[in-house]
Amino acid sequence: MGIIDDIINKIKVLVSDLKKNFELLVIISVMWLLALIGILFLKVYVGPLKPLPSFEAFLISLGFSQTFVDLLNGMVQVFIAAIYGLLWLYLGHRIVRLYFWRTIKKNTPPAENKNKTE
Amino acid sequence: MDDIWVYPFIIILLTFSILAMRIILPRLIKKLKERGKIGVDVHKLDKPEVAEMGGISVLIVACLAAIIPLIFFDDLIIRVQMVVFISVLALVGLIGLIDDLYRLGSITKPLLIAGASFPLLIANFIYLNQVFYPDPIFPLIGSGFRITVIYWLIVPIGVTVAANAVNMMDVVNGSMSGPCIIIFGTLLFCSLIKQPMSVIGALLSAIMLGIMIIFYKYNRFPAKVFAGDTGTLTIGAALALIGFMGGLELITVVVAFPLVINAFQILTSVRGLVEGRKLQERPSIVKSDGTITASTDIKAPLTLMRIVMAKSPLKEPEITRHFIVLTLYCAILAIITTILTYYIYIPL
Repeated sequence: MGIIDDIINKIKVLVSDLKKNFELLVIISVMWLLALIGILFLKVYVGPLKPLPSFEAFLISLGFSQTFVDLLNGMVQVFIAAIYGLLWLYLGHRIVRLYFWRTIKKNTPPAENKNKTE
Repeated sequence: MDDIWVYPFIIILLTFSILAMRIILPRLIKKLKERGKIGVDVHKLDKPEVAEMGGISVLIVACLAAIIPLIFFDDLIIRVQMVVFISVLALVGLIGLIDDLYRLGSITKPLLIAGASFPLLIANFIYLNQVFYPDPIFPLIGSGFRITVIYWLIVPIGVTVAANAVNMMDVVNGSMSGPCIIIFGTLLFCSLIKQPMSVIGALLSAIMLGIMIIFYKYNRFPAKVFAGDTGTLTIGAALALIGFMGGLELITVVVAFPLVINAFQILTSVRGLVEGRKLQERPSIVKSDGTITASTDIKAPLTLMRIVMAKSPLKEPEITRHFIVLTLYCAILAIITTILTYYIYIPL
């Protein structure tokens, strides 16, 4: 019985900790979902990106090789992916900051956080 | 070698690293105390002195354990990967040791760690993309993007980021070692369910899991030993190597989300690379009742510890428990990510 009681108590503590961290768990879930959506977005829209035929012809007429055009295309794709990655990080950063300062304001007496919190 | 032989090896490596840590760490703690290698536990009212640089045991045991597959495995690539693991860990551990003894600058340290990942790049160049595969598989879409060139640049950055992210997580007793048990345990499980199984991922995760279990025993509240930069940087580098060589890049990022959040929030709140000990404003304050409360100073770095304390002051073991709960949740997300990557495919 002692072991079972111990396990039940540990589960209760775990559930209580999960409840206490609910907002952070939601933030983590949102970030995870946005990462998955981002991968799908890049696959559907960025992966198949090709330069406009007229622009490709223009570059080749300037003397650039097909390999250079492909490389340029790849660089544009990487650039878009990097922008998405940075936006993802920035969004996560803003959400966490917003959560932190709101919670601090709610839980700290006004006299203590005056001129200190965001 | 058939994959079935991996399971006994996992058990052997796990047992070896547990036993080796159990033998080495208590003796190392005694030696470190005798030689005066001690640090002050700042989050306790009586400010006790605790043995520092206990991470040396992590480095020694990880390298010793990696020699076992090196001797008994027939597969050349596995053996090369083990040599790379030992080389990178030895270099990163040495950088951590120098930092513990003489203090490296905030720019010098990441640059040196990035340089320490070169054995991995060189080995992959020699063995033609067999040490790590620079075309990762993503959830739902499979192998979708060719990032063959970019991947080579990501490797040193990844090793540096992981090493420093683990280092930044080591703030209170057990706050780094506790979550790391879950991280390496999850990586071991994900390596086994991956299609095809990641043999190197499973072997290295088993080694690190065994090490972290014993390290946590001595590092949890009230700590008898601190990892020091030698330990944290070594553990971080091992994490990155499992991700890259095991083909578990995204899964490693997901399971280590709390580390990512912590590191990114610190970097953005202090605006760049700054040595922790040089920061004027502290993120937490130890109260007279022994609890720790989040600083309300806008200039203080926004650490994960400060974020979990936003609702109310917490005791040191409670902070570690919150970190473990967050990592446990990320472990579930990482397992779902593995299933989405290797068992569900959307033809787009």
